[in-house]
Amino acid sequence: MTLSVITAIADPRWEADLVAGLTRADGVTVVRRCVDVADLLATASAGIARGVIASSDLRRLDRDVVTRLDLMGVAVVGMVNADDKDAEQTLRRLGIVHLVCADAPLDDVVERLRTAVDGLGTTQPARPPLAPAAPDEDAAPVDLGRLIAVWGPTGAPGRTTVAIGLAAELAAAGQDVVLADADVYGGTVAPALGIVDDGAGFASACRLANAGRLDPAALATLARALNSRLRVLTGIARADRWDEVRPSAAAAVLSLARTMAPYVVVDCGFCLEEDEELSYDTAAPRRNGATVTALQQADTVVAVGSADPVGLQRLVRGLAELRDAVPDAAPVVVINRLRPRVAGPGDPKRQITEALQQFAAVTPAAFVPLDQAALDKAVIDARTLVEAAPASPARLALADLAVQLMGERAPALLASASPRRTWRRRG
Amino acid sequence: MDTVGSTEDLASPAAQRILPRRWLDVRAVLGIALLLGSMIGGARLFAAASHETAVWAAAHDLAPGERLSAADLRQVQVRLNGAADGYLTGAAPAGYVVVRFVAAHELLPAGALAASARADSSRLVTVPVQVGHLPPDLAPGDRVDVYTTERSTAGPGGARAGAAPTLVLAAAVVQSRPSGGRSFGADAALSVVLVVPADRVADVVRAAESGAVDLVAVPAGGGGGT
Repeated sequence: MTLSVITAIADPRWEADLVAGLTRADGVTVVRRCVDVADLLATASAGIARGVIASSDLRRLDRDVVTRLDLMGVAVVGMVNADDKDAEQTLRRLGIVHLVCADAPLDDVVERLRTAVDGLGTTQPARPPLAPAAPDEDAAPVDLGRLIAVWGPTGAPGRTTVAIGLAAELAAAGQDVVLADADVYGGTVAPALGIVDDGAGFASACRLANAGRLDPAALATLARALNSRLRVLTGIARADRWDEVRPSAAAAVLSLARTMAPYVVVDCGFCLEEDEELSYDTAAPRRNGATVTALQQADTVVAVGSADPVGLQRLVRGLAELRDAVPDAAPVVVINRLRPRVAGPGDPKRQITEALQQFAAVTPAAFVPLDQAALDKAVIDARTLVEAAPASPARLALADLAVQLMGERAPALLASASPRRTWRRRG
Repeated sequence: MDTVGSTEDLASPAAQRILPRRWLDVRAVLGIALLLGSMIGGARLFAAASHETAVWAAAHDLAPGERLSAADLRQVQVRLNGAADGYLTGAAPAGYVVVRFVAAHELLPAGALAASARADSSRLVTVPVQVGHLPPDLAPGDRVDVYTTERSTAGPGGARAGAAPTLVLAAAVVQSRPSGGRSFGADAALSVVLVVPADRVADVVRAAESGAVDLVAVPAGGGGGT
């Protein structure tokens, strides 16, 4: 079977040699010699090729491009100078697994191409490619932190409150936590925690990841340490900067964050719709792609709903959307803002549980009462509930949720939900 | 699964967070301290300023020898700044006798009063004085020297030529004088009441009987020796 290949090599000397060699090789046809990324994407989207050889010095070759080629079913082989370790690392960070040296024998190049094209079918096409460490979870499970995506339907069910609370509780329990604000409709983690740094750490990390320049040191620098356990990647402050949070880059950032801490808590956007597909514009940047990506990658999806009739309806519809977008997610449903008067007569927890079992076939894992006084105090002081109101019922409910999510790793300490000394007390 | 080994090496910069809202900040403490300080200081100043003593003042002119009754006195609130010893506080000094002249509204000095027994050592003597032989503006409380000139036997009212005037009493206090002279004429006499020590009364009476009396004003602060 003839393998149709596109070349996208910036250096003309390599390009001429390579094309000449491939033309002579058996079973390989060079269908187009592209000069830039736009040409490459256009040719690939025409569906005439199954493989691409791209050089490391091709301008504007970034993670987004690699992801799109992957989604088009075109395998990418990177070509680097033999002694250029930086370029090799950059290409790997862009998600290119198969690399060849520029001076490699032609047989090796063809062999790599065939391997890459064969490997394309084995990965799930619906998923964006993960960072290098992510696909082999079975090989190195000890090094990867658990990704907890906190999601909720439209409205303000308290996604950020739950995400911050959960991260703070995990940190209070002695676990290292990275809290990432991946809300593409404007993140509020930074103002809620009173972080005055200007930069949006998560967006910056996504930009670096897209350019293939994100490494653990860079990610650590972009994060802000709230205390010895809890680090925060702040989100975009303005909703119109969503373009910076590309799905493939977000996936890379989250994967890398998982190597830095045993728990990564992501505050997601609410919207799961993929409007771009309605207009058949699969090349357009997908605003909600980061949300969907985070939910797909998550080990645990926490779905937050508000404990009133409107909020519960939105939750039921949202859970259905979640099932469509991320079929294998088993959301942990958290009912937030629980107060007796809006749940009808009788025990509000029982009422809500029955309603959700009936309409969404889920059982809430936690009920967070609406402790307005404590939440107001936390938000005016720009502190977590652990810091601002350690005895609040809302905080205790979040601590219980953290214990549930930690499973057997939960220390006995947290069961009593006592404030830890590692938290700076206000003096 | 434990913490990844590389995490310790990759420290993140500490987040710059807004300072928590604290009700007890330096400005509040300073403000409250300032407020309390000014309140206490003001109260102390006011208390010191209004530290007044009730002392007695003369309701009208008090002449020496006058025995005081409650009607002669008024109580006034004054700030004496430690000089209260020289004045009378407490109950009205009724029954005491004035030994120095005290004008109306003046504070009553303790030294101007004497117990009745001591005050009895002076007498009020009425002395006839010809118009023109006494200070025209003589008022109660003034001090005068009393001179007498032997009267000649030859003519009534005329002084014997060559007779030298004699000082009878120095610095006697005028108790009262009748206002104005209704009688016209060169020999019209006025009766002036003088405070005279008891042992000198005879001298004064004899002088008044034997000759013409002149009253010579002692300027205020002038007549030292009595």
